[in-house]
This record gives sequence, structure tokens and C-alpha cells, in this order.
Amino acid sequence: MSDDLTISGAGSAAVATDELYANAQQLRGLAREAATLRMHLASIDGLISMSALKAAGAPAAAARAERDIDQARIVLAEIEVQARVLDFSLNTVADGYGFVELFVSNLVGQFSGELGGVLGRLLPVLATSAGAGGLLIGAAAGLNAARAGATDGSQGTRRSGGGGSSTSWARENNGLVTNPLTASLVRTAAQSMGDLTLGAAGLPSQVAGLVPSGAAFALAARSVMGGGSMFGVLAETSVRQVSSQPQEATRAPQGFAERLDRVPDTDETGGAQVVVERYAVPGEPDRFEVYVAGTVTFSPVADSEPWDMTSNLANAAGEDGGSYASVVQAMDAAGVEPDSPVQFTGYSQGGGTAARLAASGDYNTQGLATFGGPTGQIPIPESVPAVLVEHTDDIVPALGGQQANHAALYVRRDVFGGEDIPTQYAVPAHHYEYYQETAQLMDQAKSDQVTEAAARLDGFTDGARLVSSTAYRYERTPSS
Amino acid sequence: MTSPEDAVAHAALTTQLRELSAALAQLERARRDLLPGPANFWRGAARHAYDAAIDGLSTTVDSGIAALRAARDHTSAALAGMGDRV
Repeated sequence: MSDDLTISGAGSAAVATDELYANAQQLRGLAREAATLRMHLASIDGLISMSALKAAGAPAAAARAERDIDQARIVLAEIEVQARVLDFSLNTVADGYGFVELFVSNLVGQFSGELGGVLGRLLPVLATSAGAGGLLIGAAAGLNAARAGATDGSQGTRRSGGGGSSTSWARENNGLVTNPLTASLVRTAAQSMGDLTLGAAGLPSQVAGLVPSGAAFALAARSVMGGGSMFGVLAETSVRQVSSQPQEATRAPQGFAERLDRVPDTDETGGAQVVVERYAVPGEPDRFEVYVAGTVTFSPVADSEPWDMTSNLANAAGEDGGSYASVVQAMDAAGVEPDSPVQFTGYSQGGGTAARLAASGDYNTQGLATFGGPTGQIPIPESVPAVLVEHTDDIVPALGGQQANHAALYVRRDVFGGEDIPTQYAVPAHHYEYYQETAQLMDQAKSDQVTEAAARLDGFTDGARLVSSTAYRYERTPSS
Repeated sequence: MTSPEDAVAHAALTTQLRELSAALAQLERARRDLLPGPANFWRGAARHAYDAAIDGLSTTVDSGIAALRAARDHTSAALAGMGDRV
């Protein structure tokens, strides 16, 4: 089990582990201390001169002390230089990792994009159906397996329940999907769907290249939804509130693990998919923490549950899907005004929905935290402090395409890292308990990037009093 | 009878002793809190090189602590030597 957290984003191109960044911080601190002490010694050295000591007939030890002080100043200068060189080396390595990752990602993206475009132009019908089918099958298989894994969980809470069961074959052969290479291939395939769709539409590659990747990705998802609706699947509906229940909560969450723990478990909340906490701050408008659950059902047919595959596709398409519309209604019911400060937290589909809400610009979003959400191609405004947590061996966030939100803090973890994969789950790396584990590791992290992000999220409710916590349940309205 | 030169030197060395003790404590604290341990984020030659560099830095910090301790102890000895005259 790997405990290494890989940190990137936050406005920097560098990529490194939390431990590397923490070491670099320590070295910077040591260099600063050495510099301060060196200046301190210079002032001590000036307290009395050698000639004054001689004039006073001071013992020989006084002269030796002067020489020791000079020696200490030289050594402190060496400490400062050595610490700065090491800090610089670590940061250079992080920049190098970031450069290589970006270079490879661009290269793969360009190649897969061009291939997708060529396929789309040469074989538009075949390519579109195959691509759309592939994306759907990938999404459905991955998410179904994830759901199955969730429902099979024998410990911890279940954040993405639902009916059905996975086959034992899927669980026993889960190594294929629990692999960073597979997740990377899924990410590349999802990303190239946009180019494939543009190619199928007959756009020359030069023109298609000008279309932002996020827009192309959304267009591909829309095409899948459009195609599906012709066969009675993936058709959006309106939603309505079924219930609202007060929740037990006495204080604001502190840290990533507590924050993730507030995301509703639909099995424990009577099916409620959204929790809204209201906080009062003296002299300021009330503020709200919004927690959004993961996918509940994986049927492509939009039945009664809004947390379904249709909503997953709608999130990718940048449209107001059932889960999105439900959260909007829940926030309205909770009294969220357009200028109310809001923070969103979501797991899996809830992460994608939360990111879409933050990206909508309809709310005064002060923070966003997503765990295992397919958020890559959702354009989160740079002004929104965001923490996006993904497992590199989890194919679900990979379905969101390449992570393009470089201003957000991007935390990754290879959960199984070549070690034995538990066979009780079909897609263990997406399972809630492993994201909870990652959140706990983030709470123990020492790098400024992670600790500052935690402080920013927790600071949202500093000095605030929890007024209410309400769990909302929504359902799709039957289509006439 | 204490000469003015003796009094000035004694006062300066007393201040020096106090400041050196504080500086020594500060560097010892920095060694404890700010010197990174062995790396877990690399393997092979890179890890070996980084750990060797940290070992080198650790030795330099220890030299700094030794120099400061010697300065403090010699200052203390000088003050003790002047004690009879002040």
C-alpha cells in the first residue's frame, strides 16, 4: 500500500511527492536559520574587540572564544549554502518531473487527438459509434464495477450504493482495471473522444486543433447523450425533492478526512444525496458547506434516481444533469443566495457535480474539494481554491479526461503501487475507504501546498456557528 | 579595585555568553527540526546521492554546533578567569 502523495498544480508546473516538498521546506527553513544565526554572531563578535580584551588583560580563553565565533560564522555560511543547494536541487527535480509529465501528456494527447480525428474523418459512423460505445462501455463497466465494489464493502461506509451485484470474475480479475497504465489509457481514450467527434463531423484537423479540448470533450459527451436518447437511454429529465431531513452535526469539519466523511452515504441517509450545512457568522451573510454523494445507480436508463449514468454524462457534457439540478434545488431550499459564500465537497460523481457547480459561476464559491471525481475537463475558475484528489490506479476520474485545472491543487496516490489488490472489490482504487485513507494521509502531510489548502478549506467556517445540517433526497420526475 | 577596562570587558563577555548560549540552543533546535531524514521518495543512485548530501549537511551542522559550544565554553572560562579581578 503506497502512502506517497504526489502533489502538483496550485499554479506551478512542478510535480513531486509531499515528502519531497516537505524536505525542501525544511532545507529552506534551515538555510534561513543559518543566515539569521550568522548575522546574530556578527553582532556578538562586535561586542568587544581583541584589542579591548588585551587592554583588559582578559584570559587567553577570551581570544579563543573570538576565534571560535569566527569559525562558527564560516560554518553557518556553509550550512546556508549546502541547504540552499539541496533545496534548489529538490525543486529542480520537481520542475523536471512536471516538465516531463506535461511533455508526455501533450505528446500522447496530440497523437491520440490526431488519430481520433483521422479515424473520425475516415470512418465517421464506425468511429463515432465505436468511440461512443467504448466510452459508454468503459464508463458503465468501470462505474458498475466501482459500485459493485462499493456494495460489496464489508467495512467502512458506502458512498455509492445501488442495486445489483458484480460477478466474482470481475472482482478476481480486478488487477487489469486497478492499474495506473489502464487508468492512463482510459484517460487518453476519453480525451481523444472530442477529436474523434470533431473528425466525424468532418472538421479538418487544423480547425479541430483550434477547438479547446474541454469543449471538444463536452461535445463528445453530448453526442453520446444524443445518440443514447434515440434508443431511450441517457435522456435527461427534471427532478423533484422527495425529502429533507435534519442531520446530526455539532461543528464544522476539520481536515480532509472529516470533510470527506460528511459526504452522504445514501444507504445511511435514506437515499439522500445532498447535505447542506448552514453556518452563521456575526455581521456577515450565512455561509454554506455542500456535500454531494457519488453515483447511486449505473443504469443508462434515466429512471427515478438522479445520481445515475445520465447525470455522469451530463456532467461531462457541461449540461445541467439530474444530480446537478438536484443540488441546485437543495441549495435553494437551504437558503443559499447568489452571494452566499459556499464550499463544495464531492466524491465520485459528486466530485464532478461539485466541480460543475463551482464552474457555473452561479455561486459565490469559496472552495472546492473533490475525491475520485471525473473533473479533468470541467473548467474550474482559477479564482476558486480547489483540491482535486485522484488515485492513479482508479479508472473513474480518468473518464473525466486529462486534468486541465492547473490552478487547482492536484493530489494523486497510487493506492496499490504494485502490491496485492484485494479481491473483494471490483475497482478497489475507487472505493470510498481508500479515498478516506488518502484523505487521512493528506491530513498528515507536511508540504505547504497541502497544509495551506487544508487551512483554507477549514478557514471557511472559522468563527462560524453551525446553524443546521440538512440531508436532501431527490428523484427524477417520470417523463410523460 | 576594578579597572574600567575590566568592567567593560566583563560586561561584554557576560552579554556574549548569554547570546552564544541562545545561538547554540537555536542551532540545536534547527538541527532537530529542520534537518531532513533519509529520503523515501527516491530509489537507487539518486537516493544514495541525496542521502549522502544530507549526511554531509548534518556533519556541517554538527561542526557549527561544536564551534558555538566551544565559543560559549571559552567565553565562560574567560569570565571565570576575570572573576577574581572584578
